[in-house]
This record gives sequence, C-alpha cells and structure tokens, in this order.
Amino acid sequence: MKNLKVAVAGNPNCGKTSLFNNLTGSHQSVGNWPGVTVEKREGLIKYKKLKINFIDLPGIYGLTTFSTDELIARNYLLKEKPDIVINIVDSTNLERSLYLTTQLIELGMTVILALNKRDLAKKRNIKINKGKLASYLGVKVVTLVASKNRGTKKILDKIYRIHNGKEQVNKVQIKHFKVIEDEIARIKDLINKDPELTDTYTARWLAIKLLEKDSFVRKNIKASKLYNEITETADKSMEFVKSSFNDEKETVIANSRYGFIASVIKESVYSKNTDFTKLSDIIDRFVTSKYLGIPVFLFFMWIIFQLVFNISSPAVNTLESFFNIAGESIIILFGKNIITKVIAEAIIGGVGSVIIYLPNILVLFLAVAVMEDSGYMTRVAFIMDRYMHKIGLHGKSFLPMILGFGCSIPAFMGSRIIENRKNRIVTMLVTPFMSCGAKLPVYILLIGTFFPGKWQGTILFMIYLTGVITAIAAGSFLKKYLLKGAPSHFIIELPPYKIPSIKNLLIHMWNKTWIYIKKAGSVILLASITIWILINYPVNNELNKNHTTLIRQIHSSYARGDISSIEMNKIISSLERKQSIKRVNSSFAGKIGHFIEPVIKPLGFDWKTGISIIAGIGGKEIIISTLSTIYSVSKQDHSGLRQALVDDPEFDLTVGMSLLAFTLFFIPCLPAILTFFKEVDLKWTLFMISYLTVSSYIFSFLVYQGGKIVQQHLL
Amino acid sequence: MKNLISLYYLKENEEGTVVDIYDENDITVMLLNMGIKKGDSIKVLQNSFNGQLIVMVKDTKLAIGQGISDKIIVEKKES
Ligand SMILES: Nc1nc2c(ncn2[C@@H]2O[C@H](COP(=O)(O)OP(=O)(O)O)[C@@H](O)[C@H]2O)c(=O)[nH]1
Ligand SMILES: [Mg+2]
Repeated sequence: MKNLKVAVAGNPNCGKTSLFNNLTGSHQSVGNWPGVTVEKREGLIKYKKLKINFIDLPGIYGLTTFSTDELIARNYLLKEKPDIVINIVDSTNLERSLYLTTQLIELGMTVILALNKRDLAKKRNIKINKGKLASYLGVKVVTLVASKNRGTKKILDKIYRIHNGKEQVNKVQIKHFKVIEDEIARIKDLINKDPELTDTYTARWLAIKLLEKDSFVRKNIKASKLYNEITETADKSMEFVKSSFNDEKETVIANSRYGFIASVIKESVYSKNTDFTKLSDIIDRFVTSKYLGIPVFLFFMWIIFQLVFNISSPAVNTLESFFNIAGESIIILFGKNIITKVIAEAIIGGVGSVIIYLPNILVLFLAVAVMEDSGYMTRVAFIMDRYMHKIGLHGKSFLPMILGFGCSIPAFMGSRIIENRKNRIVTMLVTPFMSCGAKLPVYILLIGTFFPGKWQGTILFMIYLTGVITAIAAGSFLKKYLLKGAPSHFIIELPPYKIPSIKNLLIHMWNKTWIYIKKAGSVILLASITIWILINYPVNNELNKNHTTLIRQIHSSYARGDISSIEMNKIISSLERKQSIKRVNSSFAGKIGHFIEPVIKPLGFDWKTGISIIAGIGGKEIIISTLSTIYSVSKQDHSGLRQALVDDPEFDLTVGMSLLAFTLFFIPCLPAILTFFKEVDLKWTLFMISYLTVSSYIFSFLVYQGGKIVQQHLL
Repeated sequence: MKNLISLYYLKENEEGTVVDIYDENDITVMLLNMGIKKGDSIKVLQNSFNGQLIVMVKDTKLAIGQGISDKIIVEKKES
C-alpha cells in the first residue's frame, strides 16, 4: 500500500516542527523565531498498520511567497498534493493564521486544523468553539500543546479515521463577495472548456488564482490553446472587480478572504480583552531600545565568551591531561611500533587535540540555543536592522549570520529567508566572517597559549566582534559595488519571550555537537592519519643508517667509559630530536611544506603551520589536529599541543596573532563551500574563495608585520 | 477633519487605523500575509524616528523597518 502523505504547514513559529517531532519521534531543531526550518523534512511512521509519511515544511503566511524557504513550502503543497494537510495555527493569533487556512481550503486540500499553543490561549482567556470553526471552514479541528507533546494522539487518530472513511471531511467553499464570485464563475466556465486544464487543480481555484495574477498558475496553463482568451478575460474581470470596489490593487481578493475570516471568528471565538502589560513588553523596552539595544547585545556576547573560556577550562585541562597520559601509556605498555605510533600520534595526538575543546563548544552552542529559543534572535535582527539597512540589506540577514556562530552550513541554508537573491548572496558571502564553531578550538588554543587568564574571554570576544564588524563592512562594499539593488523590506514578527525549554536546548546542542563529534570521528581522523603518513614517509634509509651508526658510537664510548650514563642519555635524546626533525623535513609533508613556505613566510608561518592551514580547508579543527600530529611526531613526546607551541621558539605571540587573523578571515571548510555552491552558483563560489583568500592573506600579513615592528620598538 | 498621516510619524503609545498602503504591490501583499490590512488598528510601541518601529496589531508584535512604515497611511486616533 502507498504511504499516506501528510504535510505539516502553517505560519512561521506556530509549532510545526514541535508537532513533527512529536509525531515522528525525530529531533529537528525548534526555536522561537521564524526561519528555523528552511527545508522540508520527512519522517515515516506506522500507526495502526497505516504507514504515514509526515513532511515538515518551512513556515508560510500565505500561498503568495517572497523567499526561497517559503517557495519550498508552497511548491510542495501545490505540486506534491499531500493527502492531508495538518494546518497548525497559533491559537492566540487566529485571524492572521486563518488567512493561510482559507487558501488551503480554496486549493481543495483535506485539512486538519490544529489549534496549537492552547496553554497560551487559555492564559489569555481566548475561547474557541471547535464545532463551529470546523463546520464554517469545512475542516477537522484538534487542539494541541505541541511543546508539551499534548494532542499528538488525537491528530494521529484523526488521520486514521479520515483515511478509513470513518470521518468525513465536509469541505466548504470560501465565499467571496458577490461581484468577485460572478467573475470567478465567468473564468471558471472558460477553463472548463479545456478539460486538460483541470487535471491537477480545480477550475475554481485556477480561476481565483488567475484573477489574482498568480504567475505560477499562469505558467501552469500556458500550454492550453485557450491561454490567451482565459488570461484576457481574467485581466478584464480583475479590472472590473477593482473598479467596483474602488480599489487599484489585486489585493481585493485577499481582503475578501479576510472578510470571510472576520465573520468566522465573530461566530466562533470569544476573547475577553484582558489588557495586561506583558513581561515581554517590559524586556523589549530595554533590549530593543534605540540606545541600549546594541550595548545590551554586546554585553550578552561578552558574557557568553567569558563563560566559553572560564566554565570550560577545568574540563578542557582534564581532557588534555587524559589524552596526554593515554598517548604516553600506550607507547610504554605496548612498545614503539607502527600501530602504537599511529594510535598515539595520529589518533590521540590528532583527533584528541580537537576533542578536548568539546566543553568550550558545548558552552557556545548552549548560548546560541538560548538565544534561539528565548525569542531574543528576532530582537537582534531588529536592532541590527538599523545598520544593515544602511548598507542595503536588512535585519533578517543577521539571523543566518548568527547561525554562522554554530556552523556555516546551516547559516548558508538559513539565508533562504532573505527575499531578494542579490541580498541573499551578499549575506552568504559575509557569513564566513562570523566564526563558526570549528574555528573556536583554534582561537582557544592560541589565546590560551599566548594570553594571560583574565584577558582570555575578552580577547575571544574581540575576535568575534572583529568578525561581525568585518562582515558588515564587507557587506557594505559588496552591496555598493558588486551586488547593487534595492533593499528589500523588513518586517518580522517578534514572538513573546519564553524561558527556553530544556528539551529544545538539548536538541539544539545535540544536533550541533553531534556534527562536531561525527567530524572528529571521520574527516579529522582521516586527515590525521593521512598527515601522519605524509610525515613518516618516505623512509629515508640513508638518514636512518647514519643515525644508527651515531647511536652505536655513543654506546660504545659509554662502554669504554669515556662518558657517564647521564651524559650518554643526554646526547642520545638530543640526537633523537635532531634526527626526527631531519626525518620530518625529508618526508612528503616536509617537502610540500617547504615548497609553500616562501608564500606564507611573510605571514610568519613556517611549513608546519602552512601544511595545517591547507589541511584545514577540510575543516577548521584540522588546523589543530594537523599541527598536533606534526609536533607529536617531530618532538617524539606527548605533552600536548599547547606545550609544544610554548616550547617552539619560532612560534611566538606575533605568529599566534597572525594565525588567529588568518583563521578568522580564511575560506570556510570544503563541505560549507559545497553548500554555498548548491545554494548559489559556481561564479559566486569562486568569488567567495578568492576574496576570502586574499583578505585573509592581507590581514594576516598586516598583523604579523605590524606585530614585528611593535616588537622591535618595544624590545 | 480626518487626521491622516504615515505610520512613520506616530509616537509611542499612539494608535491609528490603516487607511491605505502606498506602494508597489509587494508591500501590500507582504503586510496582508502578516495580517495587516486596511481597517486594522495599529498601536506603536516603539518609534525611534528613523523608520524603524515596533507595533502591535491585534495580538501580534511586529518589527517594521525603514521603507515600509512610511508607506502605511493611518488615521490617527485621538486619545
Ligand atoms: N507555549 C507554547 N509554546 C509552543 C507550543 N508549541 C510550540 N511552542 C514554541 O513555539 C516556538 C516555535 O516552535 P517550532 O516548533 O520551532 O515552530 P515552527 O517554526 O512552526 O516549526 C518554540 O519556542 C516552541 O517551543 C505550545 O503548544 N505552547
Ligand atoms: Mg520549524
């Protein structure tokens, strides 16, 4: 038997994904802002032998859409024709929500109207007569509290009963004003003359949409030989309707829908107007205020980065010591052979060096999750709108940019909420400046190594802030010279604040952290082993032979009594160190590194850093795992990367700062670049790669050369 | 006499009824989608007089950016 297709549709932020998770047991991210879901997600379940495929859609306010995410939802509804649509509405905002409902009904869909956020509606004394609503609209009505998983079973039952014919959905027609109905009838008659036209959609719906000048429907009937006649009639009808309503816009039809809604609401919704000053309004007085908005936002960011450093540092230190001891022990317990070396140097040295920053990452992701679920996100969009508008974008661009603090991939996809293609590309081009979660370990490592404890959080904050400012500056430049165009219009709903739910926070953190762990176990592991091989091969026999001869000579001088055992050990370990440096230098990695060294020398980087940066294109954490693997092979010890950097006289504060700058500005990782390409095109992908490469080179150059000058003058 | 002004000029806590939306079709449709249409009453919660507003329409709080607020014509309610 075929699976039943059931789509979950509704306004942004009304609880679609919450319900979808309840229905399917999945863990998609839920947040208190419009734009969390930007692609459709499917989940198959079995309920009483019935296989149901649920589809979670991005939020839409109506079937006339403006942005890519909305288009995805609309196209799904129009083209895939789901068997049943669960239309979730926010019970506290029924009038606006029903605007979409009326359009779904017009489309002839079988609708289950899910009145969500019952808890809030109750608090506000809103009473809804389900029976009346159901019969006026010709839908099934169910009440829900999706965030508390209440009402899920009722929905499943409804679906089951509708499918089995145990419950009938008595569909109704949304009656428009008489003048409009007459014109609809006229166009409908014409459409009915070509039977092929009504294969997919009803004549009535096509007629309404043609009146509204919907471009999708126009394209849809293009093939018909009646096309010209139909569109001409529709246009004439529209003119007539407009003149009889004394209105110059096509929106008379939309107004007539709202007229219908108003009468439905009057009959079936009772709300005592309790005028209470809400807590949200009080918070907003500070948070969105003209003067306090930005300082408050910066203060929150500053706190977050203090926490990222301070809360996590004990855990990071513990993990680091643990891995150091583990590496050490394996060699001691099982001796030095190729397997133990791979484990100690590549797996523990490489992958471990990245895993230890998990605590920092968790704190950062938690902070972003709190922003997402509390409702603060949209406020940030609002306060940033002032600046974004100046550069020709608007506040919504800042929403995907904030997602960029987690990972560039969802951020690139999140920019689908931007209505205008050019503005969307600009937003995507500047998103890499918002440091992603994978860059965080690099920052933590370098800041932790080179700066005193009490400044670390603030420095980290400054780096992120530099990123944000650069993003805005770059956006301004791109908009002015390369992607000119009118700004699109900013309007966004500010949902009431709420205490973030633990469940939502955990889902958020888990979804993001899991990606990090998966990467550690796959890409980073692979990269570490590859690097390990590149450093250890080819084996230089001559070098080894000379080394063995030397060691043997030392041993024999000890046997002769020329040197003491202490002296012997000292000489041998120094020889070992020199030997491993020589070996690494003559390895593949060393050769590649030395080959590129002239290019990166002006940035203060030696070949080790160079190789790491290149490997880091696979993922920013790989910069760390590579450095760590190289150092642990060439130093022949397992004291951890931080110690190795401190011990390396070439790697000083200026080099560290230069690497910080480079990491901040350099291109995103390969998977993110691929996402960019899929979302935009090749031309802009190449542009992004080149402009970020150039900018990272320039900034890093300035930092290093500037740092050197300062150093010379101070010392 | 009716007191018609653009939403841009309404001060905090002032209210108006939407009489017209001046524009290309886009803004009208966008506003319709968000539930704002002729005849609705709009209350301004915050206005920093740079075109950015926070308003209340029914039970929805909306943030509106420059370029839109100037196009919404309201009849100011006397308080
Ligand atoms: N109070 C309350 N909040 C809810 C309810 N359902 C969802 N939410 C919250 O509404 C916000 C948006 O939820 P989400 O599922 O992401 O909505 P979507 O954008 O439609 O997918 C989240 O903060 C949810 O926790 C509900 O029944 N009651
Ligand atoms: Mg969602």
